[in-house]
Amino acid sequence: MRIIPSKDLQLVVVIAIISVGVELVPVPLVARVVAGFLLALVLPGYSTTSILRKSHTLGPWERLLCVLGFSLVVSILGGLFLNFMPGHLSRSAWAVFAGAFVLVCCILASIKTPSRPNPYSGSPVLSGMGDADDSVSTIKHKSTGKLSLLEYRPSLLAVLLATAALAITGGALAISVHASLAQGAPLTMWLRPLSNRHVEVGVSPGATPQSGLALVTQEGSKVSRLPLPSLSPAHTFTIIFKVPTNESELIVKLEHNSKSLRHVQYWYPKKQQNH
Amino acid sequence: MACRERSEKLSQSLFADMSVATDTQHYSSENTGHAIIVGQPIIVASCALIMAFGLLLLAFANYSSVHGGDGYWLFWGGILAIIAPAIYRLVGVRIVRGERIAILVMESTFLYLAKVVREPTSFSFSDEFAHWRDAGNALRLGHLFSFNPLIPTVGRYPGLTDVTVGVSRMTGLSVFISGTVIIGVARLVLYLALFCVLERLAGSRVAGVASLIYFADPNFLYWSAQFAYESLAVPLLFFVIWLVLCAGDDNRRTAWVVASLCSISALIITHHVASYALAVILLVWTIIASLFHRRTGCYVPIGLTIYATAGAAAWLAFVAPITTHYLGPVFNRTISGALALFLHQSPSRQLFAANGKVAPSWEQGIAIVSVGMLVVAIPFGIQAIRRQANSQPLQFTLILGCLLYLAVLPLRLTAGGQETANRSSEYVFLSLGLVDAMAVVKLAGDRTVGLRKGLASALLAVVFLGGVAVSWTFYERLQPDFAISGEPTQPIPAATALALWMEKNIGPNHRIGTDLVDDLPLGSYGEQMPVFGAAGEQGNPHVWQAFFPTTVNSLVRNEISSDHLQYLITDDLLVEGPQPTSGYFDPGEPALPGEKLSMSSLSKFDGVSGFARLYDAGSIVLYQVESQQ
Repeated sequence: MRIIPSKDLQLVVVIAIISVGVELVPVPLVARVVAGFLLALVLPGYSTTSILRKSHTLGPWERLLCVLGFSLVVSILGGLFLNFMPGHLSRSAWAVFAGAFVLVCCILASIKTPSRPNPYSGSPVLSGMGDADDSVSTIKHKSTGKLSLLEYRPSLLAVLLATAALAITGGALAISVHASLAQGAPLTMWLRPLSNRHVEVGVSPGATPQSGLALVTQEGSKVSRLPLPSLSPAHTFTIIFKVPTNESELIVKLEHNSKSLRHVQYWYPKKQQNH
Repeated sequence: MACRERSEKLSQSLFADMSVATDTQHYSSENTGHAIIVGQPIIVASCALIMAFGLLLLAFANYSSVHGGDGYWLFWGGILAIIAPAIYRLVGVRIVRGERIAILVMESTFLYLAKVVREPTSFSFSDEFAHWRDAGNALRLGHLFSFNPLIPTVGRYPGLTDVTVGVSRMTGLSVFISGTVIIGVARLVLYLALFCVLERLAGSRVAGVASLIYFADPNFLYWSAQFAYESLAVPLLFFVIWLVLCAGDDNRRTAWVVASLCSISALIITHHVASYALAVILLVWTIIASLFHRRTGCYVPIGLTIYATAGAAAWLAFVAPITTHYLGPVFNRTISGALALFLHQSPSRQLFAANGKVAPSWEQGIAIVSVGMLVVAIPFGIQAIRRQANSQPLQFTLILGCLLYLAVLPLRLTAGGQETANRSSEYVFLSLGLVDAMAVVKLAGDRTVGLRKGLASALLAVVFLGGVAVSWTFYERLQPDFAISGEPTQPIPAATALALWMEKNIGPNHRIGTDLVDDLPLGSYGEQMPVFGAAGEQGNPHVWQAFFPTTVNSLVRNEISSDHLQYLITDDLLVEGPQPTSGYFDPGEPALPGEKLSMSSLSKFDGVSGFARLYDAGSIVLYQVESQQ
């Protein structure tokens, strides 16, 4: 770590290496999600921003903008780069590229890093913060003259209000997911020829339970009568049966209380295709 | 540093001119450090709570709509609850910069969630399906630039696909979840870049109000929040503008210029119109800065302008020449619409109406008042900018953007030009935000409470609500109840189920004849190849000729044969509603003689030799075409 003296960049490098490792070995999905988002949408931007911060001081919001903005830029250009590389857009290629990029940027950011004025120590040098009514450069912490996120201590009421807002937001999302899932597919019937003498017939009840009878006819004469079990939502019933002859029209009807609900139909002879 | 000093003088002179009290001393003496980041935490958290209630109302509105109820007023109540606290706080004075940004970020995030709660489990807007297909192709094939049957141009601008594939590959999440997160991050970049750019031009109070006006852009609520390349490109555009501003304000500008070049490159490969818009903005900026340069010594971004222009042109010429076929007809319609309006002096389009339905009169009124106020405020805003002691070249560039808004506004009255007028709003509202915000801040004055502040807040609310009223066809703002809507303006679940069934049981890339709504899930989730003229197909297919006749005649069989159609999909819901303005099966199809499609046109394949009825989901039926037919 001599190459990278800055502690935050050392931490970034460690996180990047762990994330790349997570991407290269089988791990639980949660770990992969965290590592993936860090490698794609946070670390590349953070490391790029650290190069800019060598010579330019950025406020917290500007830093957030740079982290997210540069992460998107790196992902876009990196994807184009990987597209022409041997590994193309594979998971390992993405992870190695992102990890290598972060490492290189952290090293570049550590080369001859000049001492930077603290943005919250009253220094007038504050690029990117030009403002008239509440310039950050003039604000000091009461006690220390420094600002750190670690010092952030909102009141209990603020925490409660924010927690309530988060809970309501989660509730709103849950309600909308429930509403969306309520719009399931309707009762569906399909026919899939498997060979010139075998077909597969399937029934999916959709959002409501369904029972019925499948009637198979060929050239108008009844071939088979298949009572379907009571199908619950998300349950699919399939049956493979042999047709008596492969030289005429095959019709399968789904009936419930003598009412035709769905029907599928197939013509023989037929060249099998697309299977 | 010279520009930096000028910027500070500019802001000071502006606020002195407007008699707006500055808050620097107040907060430097009374606030603790963390206030810099988010201001007063209790107020910020209270705003978040009210906005969350607004989101809850929107969720209930969708729930009600899905179950056959009417969520109309719940929707408007939810929108009002999200915007009201932000407007009230941001118009005010004596608010620290961090609180303004925090409230802006919260408001715009809740507005993004308003789009998410409309359909939180899958994509529902038409362009989203095309981008899903592009990402799906890249995930399946392992490389970019594959053919996209839904919007061929999308395949030539792989920026969004790049990021989506990267996130999806590394996290293991679906394209939908990855895309929703990516667009959310891009929106965060947009809010922050927008604020930072406007703040550099006019200070944080004006920037806050200008951002609110930008959120009133009719496309902001839904269109710009969808999973599409422009939703990623516009934030990148604002990000580049901010980087160029930073380069201009700093003597050690090499790092900023390199960052700008990379970001411009990313923008060029992400979206066509956004990259052209950036080239135009930089060009005008360079010209104006050149005029200023002798007097003020300000930064002239000529190198970046040349790079952006040459890069966009090179990408168009060598990688995405198909873009001319995609954008050409749009511009042709715009020009012909403008000429018709100019020559005949009469509108060719009925405002606030779609598919035979007319928006409620109060919506029409608030939309017109909103646009009127945006226009009326422009001269006052321009006057405020002109009265500044030290103006910046970008401000004058944005003033020209306001004039562009005035120029394209009449196009909304034409059928051919309304798309251009609507789509340009994402760019011109940056200008409109700055200029109109100057007027609003002047109106609001410098008192913490008072009539003027209340009036300015009310006007901003009207502008925003008017923007929402214009934004989306009023009966499509909420998720429809597919069981009763009888009018497929977006893919129904049965079509999605069929698409997934086909992908699993039949395999990808079969040529399909179907309507312009069901082709979306089939071309994306189903990975099939819907055939229609606008898809860049060779041989100019006229797939409607296979569907319009009421019997399977030789014309139908010839069309199916010449288009090499392997499957046909009919949807009875097409018969229920009026003839769609964009056509049933192809945007270029002729109007039906009987005005509406008949049921016999769709059911004619039943029992006919050569057409196997493989899938029946009630309204949707899949027919397989015999290869020898």
